[in-house]
This record gives sequence, C-alpha cells and structure tokens, in this order.
Amino acid sequence: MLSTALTDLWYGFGVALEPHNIMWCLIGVFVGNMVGVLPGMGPLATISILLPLTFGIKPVGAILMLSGVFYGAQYGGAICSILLNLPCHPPHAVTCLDGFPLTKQGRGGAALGITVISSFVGASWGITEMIFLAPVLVTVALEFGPAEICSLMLLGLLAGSTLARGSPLKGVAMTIVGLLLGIVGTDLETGTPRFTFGIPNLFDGVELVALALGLFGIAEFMKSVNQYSDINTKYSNVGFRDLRPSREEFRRSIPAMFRGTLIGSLCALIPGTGPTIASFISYATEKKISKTPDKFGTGMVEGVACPEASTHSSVQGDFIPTMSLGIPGDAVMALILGALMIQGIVPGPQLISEHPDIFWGLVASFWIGNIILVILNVPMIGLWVKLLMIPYKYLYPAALFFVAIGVYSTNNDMFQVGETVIIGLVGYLLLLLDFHPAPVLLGFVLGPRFEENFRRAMLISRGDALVFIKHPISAVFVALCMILIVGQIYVRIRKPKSGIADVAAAAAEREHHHGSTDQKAPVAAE
Amino acid sequence: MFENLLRKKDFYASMVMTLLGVGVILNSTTYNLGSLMHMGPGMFPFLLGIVLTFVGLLIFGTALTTPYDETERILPESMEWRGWGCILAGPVMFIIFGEFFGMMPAIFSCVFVSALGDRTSTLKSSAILALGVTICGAALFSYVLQLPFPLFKWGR
Amino acid sequence: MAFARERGASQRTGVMASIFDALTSLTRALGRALVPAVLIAATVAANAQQYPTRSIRVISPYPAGSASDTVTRVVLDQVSQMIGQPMVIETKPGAGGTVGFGFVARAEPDGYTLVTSSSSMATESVLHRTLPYDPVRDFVHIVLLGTSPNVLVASKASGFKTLADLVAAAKAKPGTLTFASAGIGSSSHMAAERFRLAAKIDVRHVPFREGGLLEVMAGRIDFYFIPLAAAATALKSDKLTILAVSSPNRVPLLPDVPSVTEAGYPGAVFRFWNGISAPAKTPPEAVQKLHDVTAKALADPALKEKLAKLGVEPSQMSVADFGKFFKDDLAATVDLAKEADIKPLD
Repeated sequence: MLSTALTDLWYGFGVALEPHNIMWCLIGVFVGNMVGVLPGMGPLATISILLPLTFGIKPVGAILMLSGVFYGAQYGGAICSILLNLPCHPPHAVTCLDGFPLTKQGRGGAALGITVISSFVGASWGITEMIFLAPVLVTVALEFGPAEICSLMLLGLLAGSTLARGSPLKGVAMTIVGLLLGIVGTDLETGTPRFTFGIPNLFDGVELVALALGLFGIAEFMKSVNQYSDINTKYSNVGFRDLRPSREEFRRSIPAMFRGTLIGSLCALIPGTGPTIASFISYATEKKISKTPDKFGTGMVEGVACPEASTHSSVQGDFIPTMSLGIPGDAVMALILGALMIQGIVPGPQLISEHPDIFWGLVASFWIGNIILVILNVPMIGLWVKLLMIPYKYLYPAALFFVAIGVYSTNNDMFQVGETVIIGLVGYLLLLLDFHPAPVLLGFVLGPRFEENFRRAMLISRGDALVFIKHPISAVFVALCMILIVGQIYVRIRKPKSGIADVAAAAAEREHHHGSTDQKAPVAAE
Repeated sequence: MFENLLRKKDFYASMVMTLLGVGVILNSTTYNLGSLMHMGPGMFPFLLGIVLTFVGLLIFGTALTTPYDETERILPESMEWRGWGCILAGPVMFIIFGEFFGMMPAIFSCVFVSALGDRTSTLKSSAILALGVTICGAALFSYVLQLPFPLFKWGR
Repeated sequence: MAFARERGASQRTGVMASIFDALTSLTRALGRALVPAVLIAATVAANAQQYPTRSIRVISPYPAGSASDTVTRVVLDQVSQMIGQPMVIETKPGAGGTVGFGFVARAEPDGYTLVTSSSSMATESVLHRTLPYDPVRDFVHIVLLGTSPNVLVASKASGFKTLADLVAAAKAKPGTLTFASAGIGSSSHMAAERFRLAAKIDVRHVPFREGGLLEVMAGRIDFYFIPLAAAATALKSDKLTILAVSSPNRVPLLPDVPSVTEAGYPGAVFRFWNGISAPAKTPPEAVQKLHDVTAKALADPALKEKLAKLGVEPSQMSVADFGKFFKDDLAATVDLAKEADIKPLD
C-alpha cells in the first residue's frame, strides 16, 4: 500500500508541476495569503468571487487555485495577530495571546518566523495524513456521533475556560458569556429565535468575525489609544538577526509544533471541529502540559507555535472528509465541492480511482503551495515588521477601517459592523474589570455545538442520559473531564494558600461539575 | 471586609456577572423550558444563567475577602473620552456613509474620525491619512477583490 | 399667424373651402403635436431597448457556497455575457433569506436591483408571522431558472432496499424512525414532511446544521431527503441506499431510482425552485428583457449541462406563468404547513 501511494504521489507531482498548474497554484496561494492578512475578509468571499473564473479552466487547475486560496489565507492570518493583537480570523485569536507580548518585547519578527515554520510543519503533516491515513481516519470520523461530540465539547470547555491568564473564576465567567452569545439566534431544533429581541439580523446569531474583531480589535484600540506604545522604539534599530528566532526559541517550539499538529489533525477528522477549535484546544493543552503555565500570555514561543501548527494541519486535514466522502466540513469546502461538481467531478471514495490526476495532483500541490508560501512569507517578515515603525496614531485608524470592511465583507451586512462596535465597547469595559476576552470566543464556538449535540443525543436515544457513558469514545471523554476536574480541585487544595476565595472556588468548581457526574442529568457545564 | 468595597474592581465585576446571570434566567423563562431530558429552547440558557449568577456571587466573595490593593485602579489613569469616542464613532461613520454614500466616503469618514482620537493628531494629518487609506482601500477592495460595494452612490 | 392666413383664404372660396381649410389646420395642428409625440415615443422605445445601461445588482439571500447561490452564479454568468452588462451578485444571507428579500422589496424599482428568489420565499412566509415584505404584492417574479427535486437516501445499516420497506418499517414501529434535515424550513425538511403526510407515517425529525449526511452514513439516522446536487456523492457511497426521487418522473442523473409517484406516493412530490424576481414596480420592459435574455441563456446547451450537474432542471416559463406558479407554490406551502402542523416561529 505504501509503495503504491508513493508511486501515485510521484505521479501527482508530475501533474502538479506542469507549468499551467503551477501557475494556478501560485495565483491561488498568493491571493489567499494576501486576503488572509486582511482582518475579517475570509477565503469564503474570495473563493465565491473566483468561482466563475474556474468554469473556463480545467478541473485540475481550478481546484488547485481554489484550495490554494483556502490554505494560503491561513498563512496571512497570523501576521496581524502577532504584530497588532488583531486576529484576522478566529483561529488566530489564540496566537494573539502570546504573539503580541512577544512583539512588545521586540521579538515580533522571531515570532513570525516561528509561525511560518510551524505552519509548514503542520500543513505537511496534514498532507501526509491525508495520503496515508485517509480511509482509516474516515472510519474513525464516522464513529463520532452526537454523544461523542457533546462530551468532547464539554472537555474542550472545561480545559479552555482557564485558558487565559488571570483569575480562573473570571475565565469561567467569560466562557459562560461566550456560551450565552452563542445561543443568540434561532434554535436549531425548534426554530424559536432566542435573545434576538426581534432583530432579524440576529436570527442567524452573532457573527464570529464580528465577535473576534470587536473583542480583540476595537477593545484593544480603546485600551491603547493615546498610550504611546513602546513598540516603535524597539524596532527602530532592528537587525536581521532580530528577525529570526533564536536557537533557544526554536528548540522550545519544536515539541509544541508537533503537539499542535497532532491535535489539529485530530480535530480535522472530527466533524464539526474546525481550525478555531483546534487552535484553542492545542493552546490549552500546551499550557496544561507546560512546566511554566503561568508564563503563558507573556510571550512564550510555544504559545505561538502550537496554535499555528494545529490550525494548518486541521485546514489541510479538512480536505479529507470532503475528498473521500464528498461531505464538506464547512462552507469553504462546500464551495470548492460545488466548483468540482460543476466541472463534473464527483468527490467520494471513487475520486482516487476515477480521477487520480485531481486527487494526487491536489495533494502534491499542497506541498508545492506550502513551499511557495514559505518562500513568500519569510522575506516578507522584515516588511511586516517595518509596519510597526509607523506611529500607532496612523496605524490604528487604518486598522479600524480594515476591521470595518472586513466584517462587512463577510455577509455584506452593515448591521454586523455595528455588532462589532458594540461588542468592542462591552469588551473594553470587561477588560477594565480584568475579564479576559479569549474564553468568550471559546465558549461562543463550542457552546452551540455542545447544546446541539446534547439535545440531539437525547432525541435519538429517547431521553436516555446514560448514552454518554454507553458509547466508548464518549465515555473516554467524560472520564477525561472528571480527571480534569479532580485535578483542578486537588491542585487547589494542595496549594498552601488559604483564604475563603480559594476554598470557595474549589467548592464552586465541584458544584459546577457535579452535574456531569450525575448520571441522571448531565448539566451543561461552565 | 466591607470597607473599600466600592473601590474594588471585583465588586463591579461581580455585579456585572450577577446581573447578567439574573437577566438571562428571567429572559430564558419566556421560552419553552422543557425538561432536563427533553430540553426546550429555554433550558440551556436557563441553566447557564444560574451558573453565571453563582459565579458572579463567588466573584463577589473574592471582592469581600481579598484585601484592598492601594495601587488598584478600575478606571484607567487617563480617561480618554476623545480617543474612545472617536474609535467608536469611526466604524459608525463607516456604516452611515457606506449605506447612503458609498465606499469611498465611508472609508474616508471612518479613518478621518478615528484618527482624530489621538491627542497629537491634527485635522490636516488625519485628512491626509484618510485620503491615503481611501485610495488604497478602494483600489484593493473594489478593483482587486471585487467587493460588491459601490464606490459612490446616493441614497439607499 | 397661420389662422389669419387660413381665414383670409376661406373668405375667398366659401363652404367647401372652409371645410377644407378646417381640415388642413387640424392636420397641421395634429402634425405639430404628433412630431414631438413620435419623438417621445421613439425615445421611450429606445430607452427600453437600451436597458440595461449599467451594471445590475442581484441580491443572493443565501449563504455563499450554498446550492442556490451556486446556481445563481452559474446562470447569471451566462446572462450577463448575453445582456452586455455586468450582473454583480451580492450575497446577503440572513434569517433564511428574509433580510435579503426585505431589502429588495424596498429597493428602487428601476430594474437594476434584482433578487434570486426560491422556494424559501414561500417557506419563510409560513415560518414567520410578520415579514418585512409581502411575497406576492411586493415582487414581480420574472423568470424561473429551474427546479430540483430531493433524493431520499437511507443508511445501509437500516436495511431498506425500497421505499416500501421504509414505509412498512415506519408503520410497524411508529415514532422510532428518524430523518435528518438541514434545518427547519429547508428543502430537506419540506420534502420529508410531504412524504410523511403522503405515506401517513410517524417519524421523528432531527435537524442538523451540518453533518446530517454523515449521521445517516453512520447509521444513527435512518433517512434524509438530500438535494439532488448531493446525490451524486450518495450514489457512489457504500453506506447509503437511494430509495426514491421526489419528482414525478425519474431523473437522468439517477436512472435506476424510482420516483415517488412510481412508488405510489404522488403527494410526496417536492421540487425546490430557483428564480429571479424584482421589486413590484419595476418597468415591464425591463422585466420582459430580463426574462427573454435569461430564457435564451437557459436554452444554451453548455449551461444546461452545468445546471444538470448541479441537479437543476432548467425551465422555460413566461412571466405571467411564473407569477401564477409562485402563487400556487405559496398556497401549497401554506397547506403543507397546516397539515404538517408547522407553526410560525415567532
């Protein structure tokens, strides 16, 4: 099997290296990279605009280009997160947490370098996985039913609520706020609009991009306006060496990269988990495993390497269910699928045998595309860093415009720009009260999936709550949740800190999570 | 324990969370709650509201028990009303001008107004910055990215 | 001045002359009025022929990447080439399409703002008590692009080989079988409801945001009325069995699959349609021009092939017929909602 896969891959390279195919790949990757740098503007809008262009070209070229836009956009997304604390896309929100502090220490260029390397490592693994493990992993994906996804979401929520620095209580509160924001919109099962206050634009919920850019962008601008940042001075005498990660930094990020990649690839397979969830989970895991968890958020390179690696591996892995089952993982995949179908190509298990040039050409082009992206991005690091030399007072109004138009362009809806402003204001007020925004995003993304799958699991099992334990995979996740909770309490009790607050916090956590041990009623946690 | 309570950040933090939690509980009862086994649309927010209220009360507990830190400030050292106002007004200008007058006035007004938030900015420097961003932005978003947003229009 | 001359002439010749002169003056007056009238008429006709003179904005109230959005892009790409002006598609999703529909209902009726209408217009009016528009009065429905049936797939694990098997199993154990849908009001939901009523079975509805098909493949959900566009995938999957198509006759994409009518349930016929509509007061010349150009585009074999791959059967319907079709579809949806007990959401 391995040898045939390798020969097919060789064939794929032959297809992908044809001059016009390289050209399409290059165009896609370049456009994607540029679009990815712009906050809010995502690959979805770009691909739908490029769609008519693909009618006239051969299917191989078409899919190379469109896919290039998709994964190319991920490369550009980290840049603003690290340099400006502005996540261009939700998966890169976590990169801000350690990326921006690194920039403030003058190590922004190094952080970008680590990002590019992590991205390449993550993507490469994702590609390899796609080639060799696709059929196996697809079977695994089919095993994930609503009960499994629900328990996984619970695990993610528990793990991630203590994501950011600061008081864990406030982290939990922010996660719940995120969960509540995720509820806004029409209920899936009954169609009832919840918390929409009669506004039709809210029927589909708060827009994720508006939330991310409002919380991280506008709130951040409000915090920094007129506080002359000392970023400029650090970069005025920057040498080439400062743009590269140091040996030490590189060494530390390698294990983080691999862990992130692993988590990302797992998330790619599980339906309903995308790059955003992957980046959050890998960051949370990294923090839990680290010997210095408290340093996370002050500029740990691991905190930059792991989410980027996981994002990229999950993005590449997203192609697996699309190509092998014909089921798109998200809207972008659906669009690419549509483009393929118009050309007469039907993705599915037979794609490999019926159209080997498309499948293997695509796989080979992933590598070629990623290499092109690395070549494109590394020299540009210096350019991006120079961006920081622009005084903040000129930078933030321009960034504000990019935020506004980025949010507008996701759905051509000015209302969502308004959402961003309001969220930004509220986010700033929360910042003043020492509430950190990151868990809000986590709760917002995971919450609806948790609720949806919980209710669905109940619907299918006709009210049997034991279903979460009966299914083996789900039981594993529930067990992990328990370990997490017990571990938290244990750590808290062991610490020689006294004080009502800590004991109360421990009691509170026991109270919160008591629900999930209760076999009769798994309560929505956090 | 109760002295200096009103000066502590956590007091206000807890108030916000508790009030939010209570509000959520009240609002979610207007939806069909269903039972724990067969959850209606209101059950999940109801439970979340309860937990949030509880967490809010716990934060209140920390506000009571942690000693007052003299250096702690809730409001930032300088109240940047002008800065905040301009930053919030910028995208609002974008919305208004974008709906009625098109992309270019939208970009210009957004950048111009928000640039004025900085204390060292002048009308002239903001206008020049706004003009520059408008031209580049229009070129990028309208020509290159083909965003369906007219450059100039009149009325809806 | 002319009259003075006329009078002077009639004074000389008598009654016949005066009649003749009256006629002459009449024709002259008419002529003086006629020339500008002809000119105006000519200009109006010329303007109508000149429509469109600038780019046309088409609002697509569906999420980018959805089937309706893709169908629109494919067809309008051809139409804009033929009509000579760019047709800019603005994706404005939201609230099942009501945001986009409401926007166009209030837009300038000058022929330069259109909307891609679909069956969801009827569904939305059933799901909401109040809408920011009236689907019949606020719009003129210009042209029907095409219709697309849904395909009933069941999981291999369920063991159903024919539609009859499914119905029998459902009747044997009422309330146990489950079906997936892409959400309340979606084509998969509506098709399933029609089938449920026609076959008189008791099955449970499990809505999904995404991933519904995966659940059917895994055997956890029993059946799903997927859009025809997705059926090509299902054909090749070894985990799905295709039981029927919700159209009156078999479809070329799936020659071995019986239609619901063949299987004995003509009441289960459901076809999702896509069309183009405009605000009600749009000038009739613009409407006719759009209709004619689109009809010509839909007759193009290359476009037909592309649409066929998306599962859409193009149609040729006059403006008046489309208007009636829309009203019928709306009425049918209202009836379905009553029978299936689908209540408004707000």
